Amino acid sequence: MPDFIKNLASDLLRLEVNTIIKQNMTAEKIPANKRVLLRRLADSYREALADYEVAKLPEDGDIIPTDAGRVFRWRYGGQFSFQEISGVAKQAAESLEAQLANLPDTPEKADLSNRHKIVLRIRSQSSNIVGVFKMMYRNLKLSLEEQQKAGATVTIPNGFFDEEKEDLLDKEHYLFSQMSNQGLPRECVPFVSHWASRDWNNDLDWTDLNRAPELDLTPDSLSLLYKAYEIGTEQIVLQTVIQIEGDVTSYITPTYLGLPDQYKDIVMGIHNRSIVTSTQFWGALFSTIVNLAGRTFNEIFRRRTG
Amino acid sequence: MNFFQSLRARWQVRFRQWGRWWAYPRQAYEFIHAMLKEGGHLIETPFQFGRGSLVFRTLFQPDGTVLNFIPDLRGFYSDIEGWVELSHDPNWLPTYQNHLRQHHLNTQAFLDAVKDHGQFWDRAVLTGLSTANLGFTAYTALRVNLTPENWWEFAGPLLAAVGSYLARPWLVRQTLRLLMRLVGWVAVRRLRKAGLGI
Repeated sequence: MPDFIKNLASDLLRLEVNTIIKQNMTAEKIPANKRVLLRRLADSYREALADYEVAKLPEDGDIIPTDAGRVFRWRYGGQFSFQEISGVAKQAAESLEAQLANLPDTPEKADLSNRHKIVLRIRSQSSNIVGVFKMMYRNLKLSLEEQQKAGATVTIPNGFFDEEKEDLLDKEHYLFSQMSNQGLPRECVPFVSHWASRDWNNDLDWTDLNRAPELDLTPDSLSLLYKAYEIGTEQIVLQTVIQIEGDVTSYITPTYLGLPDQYKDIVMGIHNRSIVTSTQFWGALFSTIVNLAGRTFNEIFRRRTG
Repeated sequence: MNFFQSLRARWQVRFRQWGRWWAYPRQAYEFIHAMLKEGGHLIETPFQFGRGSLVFRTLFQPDGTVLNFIPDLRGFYSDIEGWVELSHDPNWLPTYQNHLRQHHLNTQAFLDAVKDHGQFWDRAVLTGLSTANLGFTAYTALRVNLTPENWWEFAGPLLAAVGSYLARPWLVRQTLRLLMRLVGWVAVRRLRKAGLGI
C-alpha cells in the first residue's frame, strides 16, 4: 500500500485522456474474476497476432512442421502465456518494421503502420503483465522464506518451467498425437494447464481457473490490467496528455483524420468534453487530498490573496 | 416570506444536505473500493439499437488516466451478423447523440458527487480532530479532582490546545519558511559540489 500511495502521488502529476472507438462496443460487463480477465486479455492478444498472420493458434487446424516457433503453446492467461505473446509480438514488430521501411506512402502502408502500433502495444502490455506475475512470485517467495525461518515446513515453488519435461505437454490435444504419429516437431505441441504455479500464476485452463484461489494483485497492478483489458487491441483515435507543469500534448491519429467530417465533429466534441470533465475530476482529487492534508495551508493562502 | 417560513426553508435545505451526507461514507467506500480493488471507477451508459446492445463507457483510473470508449459511429460488429452498417439509417445518429448526452450527464453527476465527497471528508476530518481534542481535554478535567491548588493541571492542556489552534497559521508559516531555507541550503551545497559554485 505505501508503494501504491507513492506511485499515485507521482502519477497524479500527469493526466491522460484517451478516446477510443470500439467496433464491438457491446454492453458486456468486465469480468469480476481477475483470472478470467487475464485469460480473456491473453486470448484477444493471441487472436490479434494470429489475424495478422504472424503466429498460429493450436486450434487452427493447419499446423505444419515449418510452423515450429510460430505456434502459441501456452493457451492461458499467466506469466508463461504473456511471456510467449511478448516474444511473438517482438518478432512481429521487427518483421513489420522491415516491411514498412520498403513501402511507399500508400493506404496499405498506413494499415501496416496501424498494425505495427497494435503489435508494439501487445508487446509492451504483455511485458508489463509478466512483471506483475514476477512481483507476485517474489512476494510469495519472501513470505514462504520467512515462514521457513520461523520453523514451518513449506516448499518454495519454482518461478519457471522446464520446457523439456514430457508431462508439461497436453497429451489430449490432437497435435500431441500428430507429434507421435506424423513427426510434428515438439515446438508445435501446446502445454497443459500449470496447476503447480496457481498461487502466483494464471497459466490455467478454464476448469482449473475456476477452482484456483484469487490472485493477490496490488492496486497499481489492477489499474494496469484494467487499462490493458479495456483498450485491448483497439485503436486510440485521440489522446491528450496534460502535465502538472502546464504542458498539453494532443495526438491525432490517421484513423481520426479518415473519418467523415460529421463524425469527426462528434468524436472531437466527445474528446473535448472528456478533457473538461477529466480536469475537473483531477482538480477534485487534488483538492480532496489538499483538504485532507491540512486546511491550514488554504487559510494562509486565502489570507495572503485577500 | 415571514421569519418562520424562511427559517423552515433554510432548515429543510440543511436537513436534505445532511440526509445526503448519511450516504457518503458508503458511497466513498464504494468509490475507494472501485479505485483500489477494481482498478478504476467505471461509468456506463448502455443502449439498444436494433439487435445491437451498445454502451458508452468512461473509466477513471487512480493514476490520472481517463479512458473514453465510444461505439463506432458507422455501425457495430455483431457475433451473429458480422458488421452491421448503420451510417445510412436515419434513426441511428439521433439515438447515438441522445445517449451520448445522457452519458455526459451521468459523468457530470459522478464528478459532482466527488466534489461533494471532498467537502464532506474535509469537514469530517476537522470535526473528528476537534472532537478528539475536546474529548481529551474533558477527560483530563474529569480525571483531575479540581482544587485551587491543581487547577493549572486542567487549564494547562486547554490553554495549550487553544494556543496551538490560534498560533497554527503562524507555526505553519514559520515551518514553511524553515523548510524553504533548508531546501535552498541543500540546493546551493549540491550546486557547489557539482562545480557550479554560487
